[in-house]
Amino acid sequence: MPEQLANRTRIYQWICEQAPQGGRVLDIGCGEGELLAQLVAKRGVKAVGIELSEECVVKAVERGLSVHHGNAEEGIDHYPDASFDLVILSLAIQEMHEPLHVIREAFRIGRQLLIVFPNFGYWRARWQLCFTGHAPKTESFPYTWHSSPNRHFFTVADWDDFCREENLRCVRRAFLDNGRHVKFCPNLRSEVALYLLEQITPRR
Amino acid sequence: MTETAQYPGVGLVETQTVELFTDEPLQLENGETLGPITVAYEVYGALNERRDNAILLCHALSGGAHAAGYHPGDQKPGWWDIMIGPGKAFDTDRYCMICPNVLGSCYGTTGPSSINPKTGKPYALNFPVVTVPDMVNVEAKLLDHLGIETLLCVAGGSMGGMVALQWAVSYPQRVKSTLAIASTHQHSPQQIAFNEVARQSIMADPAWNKGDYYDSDGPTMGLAIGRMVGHVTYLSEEGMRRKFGRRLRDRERFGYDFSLDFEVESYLRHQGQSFVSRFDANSLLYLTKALDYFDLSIGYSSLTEAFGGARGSLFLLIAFSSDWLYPPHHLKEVARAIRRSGGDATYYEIHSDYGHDAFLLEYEKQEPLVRSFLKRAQTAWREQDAQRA
Repeated sequence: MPEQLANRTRIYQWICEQAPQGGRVLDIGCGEGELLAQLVAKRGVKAVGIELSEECVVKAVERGLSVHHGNAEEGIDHYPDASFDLVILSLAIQEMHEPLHVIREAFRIGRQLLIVFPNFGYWRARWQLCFTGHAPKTESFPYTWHSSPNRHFFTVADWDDFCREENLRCVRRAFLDNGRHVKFCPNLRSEVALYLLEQITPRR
Repeated sequence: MTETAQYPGVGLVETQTVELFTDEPLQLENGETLGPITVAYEVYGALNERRDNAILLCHALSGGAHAAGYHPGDQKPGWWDIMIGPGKAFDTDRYCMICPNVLGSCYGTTGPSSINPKTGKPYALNFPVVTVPDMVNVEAKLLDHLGIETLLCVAGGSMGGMVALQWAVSYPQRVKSTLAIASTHQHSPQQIAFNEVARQSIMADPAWNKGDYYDSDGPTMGLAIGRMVGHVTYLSEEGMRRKFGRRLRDRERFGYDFSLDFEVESYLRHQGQSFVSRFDANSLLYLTKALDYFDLSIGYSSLTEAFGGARGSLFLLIAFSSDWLYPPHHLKEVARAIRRSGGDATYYEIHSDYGHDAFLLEYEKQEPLVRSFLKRAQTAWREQDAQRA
C-alpha cells in the first residue's frame, strides 16, 4: 500500500473512532467528502462540509452531502455558537490563510476540534534539510517550494506549545508513520499528528 | 419519421389550463382581491403511488409553462428541455414535474392582457399589482387542485429561483427541498434600477397609452428597448468580448452614421425585436414590479427568521461567478441565513463567463448536482416517513 494511502486509511479510522454517534460534524476542507461519507455510514453523524475546489464539491454532493463551496473563513463565521459536536480540520490547517482565526472559530461553533496535520519535525524532513541542504520533500510534503499549497510549516512540539497558549486540552492524540501508530518520540518519528481537543476555558 | 425521432426527450406536450379561485377570490398582498384566476401549466412524468415525486418548476421573467418537450410543429423545445426528460437531471422516469405560468404573465395564466370578466375587455392597468408571494399562493391552489399535498422539490432559476425560495418560506410544510439558481433573497437597488429603465422605456412609448393598447400593436419600441437593457444584464463583460468582440456587422469599416456598426448592436436589436412578438409590455411592467418588491424577510425580523419554518427542508443554491445581475454573494447570504436558522443548505458557485445566462447554458455542470440533490431529498423524505411509522 502506498505510504500516503496507508496513513489516510488510518486517519479516517481514528477519526471514525472519535466521532460522537449521531453527532453534528463539520469537516473544513472536506475534499471529495470521503471521510464525511464514512462518518455518516459508520457513526450516523449529521455531516456538513466546506470545500474550495469546484470539482471536489461536485463529488461530495454526489455522495449525498451538504457542502459549502468556498473558503473556511466565510464558511464558518455565520454558524451560531455550539452548532457542532465536532469540527474536523484534516490535513487542511497548514494551507489556510488565517489558521488562528479558523481554530478559534472552530471552538466557538464546535464543542471539540479534531485536527490532523503533517509534522515538519519528522526525521526524514530533518535529514534532508540537515544533510542534503534541500527543503524537505516527503509523503506529507511532496511539493517543490513553488508548487506547494502549504503555507505553514510546524512540528508536534510547536503544536503542543500552541495548545498551551490557547488553553486547549488534548482529549486524545495519535501519531502515524507509514500507516503505523507511533508511540515513542513522535516529534521525530511521526509523519502525521492527530489531536482531539477541547478548550479549557471558553473564549469570550 | 416517427414521432419520437421528430420530438425527442419528453416528446409532444400540451399546455393545460384550469380556472381557480372561482368561489372565493385570492386575497392579494396589496389588499385587493382577484378571481377567478386561470392558470396555465404543463406536466411531465407521472405521480407515483407514494405521491413523493412531485417537483414544481418555476420559470424566469420571460418564461412560461412550456419548460420541456415540443408543441406540435415547433422546432425548438421548452426553455429547460436540456434538464428535463427521461434520464436527464429532472428524470421524468422518476419524477413528476409541474410547471405553471406565473400570475401576471402573458402565457396563459391570468395577467394584464387577460379579459377582465367584469368589463369584457383586457385588464390592462386595472390588473392589480401582484407580488411573488401572490404568485406562490396561486401555485399552491393549483397543487390543491391536482391533489398534491407535498412537493419533493421546488426548483427554478433567476425569477424562478425567487419563486422557489418564496415557496420554502411561505409553505415550509409542503416543500421537502428547494433548488434556487442564479437568484436572490431580495432585489437590490441595482436590480431595481435596471427594471426601472425597462419600465420607463415602455411607458415613454406613446403607443403604450397608459397601458390601454390591446387594440393596436402597442409599445413595440419601448418593449424592445426594455428587453435590450435586460439582455445587457444577462451577459458579462468577458462573455460579450468573447461572443462579439468589436466585430462589425456586414461592413468592413465604420459607417460614420447611426445605422448599425457592431455585432453587439445587431444582437441586442434582434433580441429586442423578437421579444416584442412574444411578450406583453404590461406583463413586463407587472412582473418587474413584483421582483422589485421581492424580499423574503418581509414580515420577519431577519432573513434567518424567515427560513425558521424550513428547518426540515434541504436547499441547493447554485450561483455563477460572472453573474453581475444576481451576483454569487446573494445566494451565499441565503445559504448562511438558512444555516443560521438551523437548516441544511448546499451552496455551489460555478466558474463561468456566461454571466446570468449561465443558468440556462452551463447545464453540464448543474446536471450532476441536481440529480444527486433530488435523490438525496427523496431518500431523506422516505427515511423521515419510515422513522415516523
